[in-house]
Amino acid sequence: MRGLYLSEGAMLVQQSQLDNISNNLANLRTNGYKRDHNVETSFAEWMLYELYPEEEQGRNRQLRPLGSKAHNVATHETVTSFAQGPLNVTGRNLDFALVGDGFFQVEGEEEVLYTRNGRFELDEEGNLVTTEGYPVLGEGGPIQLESEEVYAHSDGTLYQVDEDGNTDEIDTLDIAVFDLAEAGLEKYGENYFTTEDAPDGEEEFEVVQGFLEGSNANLAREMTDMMKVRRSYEAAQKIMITYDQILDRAANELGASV
Amino acid sequence: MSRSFYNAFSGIAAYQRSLQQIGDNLANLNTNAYKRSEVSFTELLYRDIQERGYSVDPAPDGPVPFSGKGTHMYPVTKIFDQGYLQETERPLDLAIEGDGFFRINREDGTEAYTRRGSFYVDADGNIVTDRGDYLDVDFDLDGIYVNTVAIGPNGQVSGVNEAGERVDLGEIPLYIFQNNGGLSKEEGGLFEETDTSGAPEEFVPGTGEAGTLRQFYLEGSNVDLAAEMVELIANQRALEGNTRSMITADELKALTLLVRG
Repeated sequence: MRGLYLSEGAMLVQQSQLDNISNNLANLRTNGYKRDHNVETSFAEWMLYELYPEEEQGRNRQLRPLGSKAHNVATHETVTSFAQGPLNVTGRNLDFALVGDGFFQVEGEEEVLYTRNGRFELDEEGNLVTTEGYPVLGEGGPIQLESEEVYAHSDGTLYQVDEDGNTDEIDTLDIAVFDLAEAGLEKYGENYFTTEDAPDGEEEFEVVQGFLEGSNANLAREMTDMMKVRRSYEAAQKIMITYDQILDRAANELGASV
Repeated sequence: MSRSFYNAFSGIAAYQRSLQQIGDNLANLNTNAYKRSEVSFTELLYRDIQERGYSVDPAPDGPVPFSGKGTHMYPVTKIFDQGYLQETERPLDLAIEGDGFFRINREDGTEAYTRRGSFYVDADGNIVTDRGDYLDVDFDLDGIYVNTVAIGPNGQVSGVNEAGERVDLGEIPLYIFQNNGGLSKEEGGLFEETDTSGAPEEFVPGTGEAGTLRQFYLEGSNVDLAAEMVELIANQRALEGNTRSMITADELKALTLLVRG
């Protein structure tokens, strides 16, 4: 009977894998999106033993270890790939992309949120905000601009030309860099990440104005992964059918009178 | 139904809408002063997959496996970039080089704003749009030969009257908004003021950011054919990818049913 549950476990794991692949595919065009994939693990691993032949059995030597056996498979972790997405030119003054590490910081409703989606706009009061209306944080707090005519240096410094034709430094985009392996960045939805850890990574980034970072989900890769899921699921299904046939024989033929 | 179905469905719905928008832009490749719309997408929320009934075995104190809920298209953004200028040789064709808008008074007494500067004269000498709405100016062209009308970059209008003298008639003002993106789009290239756009500010052409007027020119559409084709291809392929994931989600269900087929 164990085989039935094992093949069911394998099918569920593949189904869960497909949930993430389908989410990656749905977000193929989402700016700043970072793809997810599941990592599986064997589950409830047991040691298998066999009895020594009677003549070899001594005191404490009745069982011989054969190896380990997993009783099922489960999803261990969902891993987000923070690989750089492609840079797409938009020509909009308030579009920014990050090359390299780091996240833009915005003031969410309850906490600071981190995002790679640098598509910003101005609200009625001239605050630089995200599409959701969250203020974008500079080193001096929320950034305020006179107009959309703004120029960004690659280190994130923002400049505007005032009425007298002088170039003024407004603020600098506050880019948070994390050690991605250590920081527990969690997906918050709407392209934001949250973490309780403070940014502490080494700053290696470049701010590029007039560009947006596209999704790092890639059509070819997701389709290939989907084919693997489809075939693994089918293999598990075949095993389930085989077990069903074995059980059918055991129940209906073994005990039947000839 | 599995999560994958809904993820695929959200993708198909979003990419269908974006393709319609790209179609709109392409259809208006030659519409005067047309402002293209830009589409963008966002992801939806994430959920712990154990709640969905999947077996999980995360590391102690480690992150729990999760999956997303698909995508969603943001409201479209109008891009107000300058369109290219086309020469027309009509004296009442006006292009704005800059950020300003003309103010239009409609039949029902409401105001609207446009950059489509193709004007005509009605029987009473009023300057009107092709839909018969009035350009908001404090003069008319009654008794002026239309072919003699001269409009300067600063909006000053003059023309030759029946006595054969050139007379100064008045000026055409321009209006600018704090946030063009907040304007509400109406039919016929018209826009209406909203709370998000802010109130219009009047400018004499050539001052502030309003820009200057160019007589005998019209502003073309700001749709870029090549850029739209790239968007079209990318969105269509994304749509197809989501169709495939819906088919795969369906195949998994079918395989499950086939266990006792």
